[in-house]
Amino acid sequence: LALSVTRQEAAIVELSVSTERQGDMARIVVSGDVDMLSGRQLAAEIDNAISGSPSAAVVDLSAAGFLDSSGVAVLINGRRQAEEAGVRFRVVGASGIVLQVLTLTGVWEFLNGEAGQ
Amino acid sequence: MRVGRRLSGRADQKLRRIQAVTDAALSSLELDDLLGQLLARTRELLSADTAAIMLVDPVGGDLVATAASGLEEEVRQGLRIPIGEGFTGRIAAQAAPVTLDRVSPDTVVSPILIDKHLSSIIGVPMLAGGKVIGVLHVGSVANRRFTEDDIELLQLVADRASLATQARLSQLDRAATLALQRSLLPARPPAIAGLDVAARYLPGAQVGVGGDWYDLFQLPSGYLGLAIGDVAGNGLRAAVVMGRIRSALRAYAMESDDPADVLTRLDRKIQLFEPQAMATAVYAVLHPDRSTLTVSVAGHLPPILIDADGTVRLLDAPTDLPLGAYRNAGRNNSTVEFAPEAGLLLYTDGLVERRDRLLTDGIDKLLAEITIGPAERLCARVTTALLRDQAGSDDVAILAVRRTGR
Repeated sequence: LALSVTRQEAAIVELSVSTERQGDMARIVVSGDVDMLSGRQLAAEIDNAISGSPSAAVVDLSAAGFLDSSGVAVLINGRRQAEEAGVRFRVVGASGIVLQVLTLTGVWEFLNGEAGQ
Repeated sequence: MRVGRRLSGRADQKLRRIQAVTDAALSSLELDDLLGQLLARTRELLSADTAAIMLVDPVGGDLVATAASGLEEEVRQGLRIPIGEGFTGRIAAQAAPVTLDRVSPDTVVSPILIDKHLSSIIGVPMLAGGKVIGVLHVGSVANRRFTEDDIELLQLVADRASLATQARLSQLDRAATLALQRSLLPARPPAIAGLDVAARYLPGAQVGVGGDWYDLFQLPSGYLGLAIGDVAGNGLRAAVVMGRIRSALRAYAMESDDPADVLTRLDRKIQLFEPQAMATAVYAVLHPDRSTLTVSVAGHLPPILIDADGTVRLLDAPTDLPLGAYRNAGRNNSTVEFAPEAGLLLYTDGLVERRDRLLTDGIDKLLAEITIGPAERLCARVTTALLRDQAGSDDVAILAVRRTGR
């Protein structure tokens, strides 16, 4: 049959995102690479967590291996969305490449800075 | 024996039907002709009176009549149906087949379906990557019950149509994006007295054309504006937003010679008119006497300065938040000397960012490649050195400037 579906999804490291509810707080645990293609998945998870009206949403990047500028945009959009919904928002656990990207683009303090939560 | 023959007769018929819609000869047709052919064949195979395809309009979110056989009026009149409403709207909303045994204003939105005196209609979703991109439906004037086989065949046609549509749309998208990028980013920056300038824009291997841009313009005040930026995202959408941000930056640059002020105004505009967008950027002005640069950095990787004595260093400037990130973000200027023979290199993250190494390693590698000299040679050198091992997956923009005159 001439009907064949080819998927071009080569060379993409899987992203897995899950949300743990810890009391009043939603902890979004990110593992893998956050890039242009997988960023939407993280955006959806953040959106979903915020719509559950927690007191705070925390994005845990300890297990994230890579983050590009579209990933930065997803996190910043998340913070903005959280602010509009009256939810505190904080990004934690970034290290290595991920921390460098967030530091060099000047957003790390902005995303991590809401200390004391 | 009899049963066997009947079964194989049915299987034969099924195969014939499948071949009719998966015929490789269809592949050579333009999208409109292909969809028209598919619909005509489907109508014939199912002995139906009408067959039509409505596609989801990515902008408005409605279904729009796109191709039809026996229902050409729908296409001519540009029928639009909101997702969720009526027969086709329901198919799109549920991403599942729907059969109707009674066509009336209660069950369908399209007045054309009623005018045609259709009794039974059946429709299936067109899916691509798990998303509904349209709906395919066929109708019959005589009352009839569509079978499981009919649904199966329709789904096959819908899959075929989805593939062709997606391929065509992404082709159009790519072509439009590239055309837009080309129109916005002249391959050769304007000649400016006392300056040697070179620039590059390279689409990414993985993402194609994206939202990176560079700009260089002479202002009436005698200042010279230099910009580089990166709109998050890729494809046509990012390129369109980039185009708007780029022209807005030019407009604000005409009103102020203070880069932090220009970026503050630009940020305010993005917050209001492009609330979903985020961009990083560097905007610098070279003073009228060409001896001083004032730079403001919005979430962008640090510019590289080449001092007249050949010292290569990252510009020591505070990195403020990206544009579109946060209302009323504070913005700073840094001012540096720009002596004759000094140079400035602006670049986007695609040049230095790789999955398998630290960003600072990429920047160090870039710094190591830079030597004083003609801007064009510098551009060639850094692109070769940093993009040689692997084509960048992200798009890349580079703007190199060297002061020549005294």
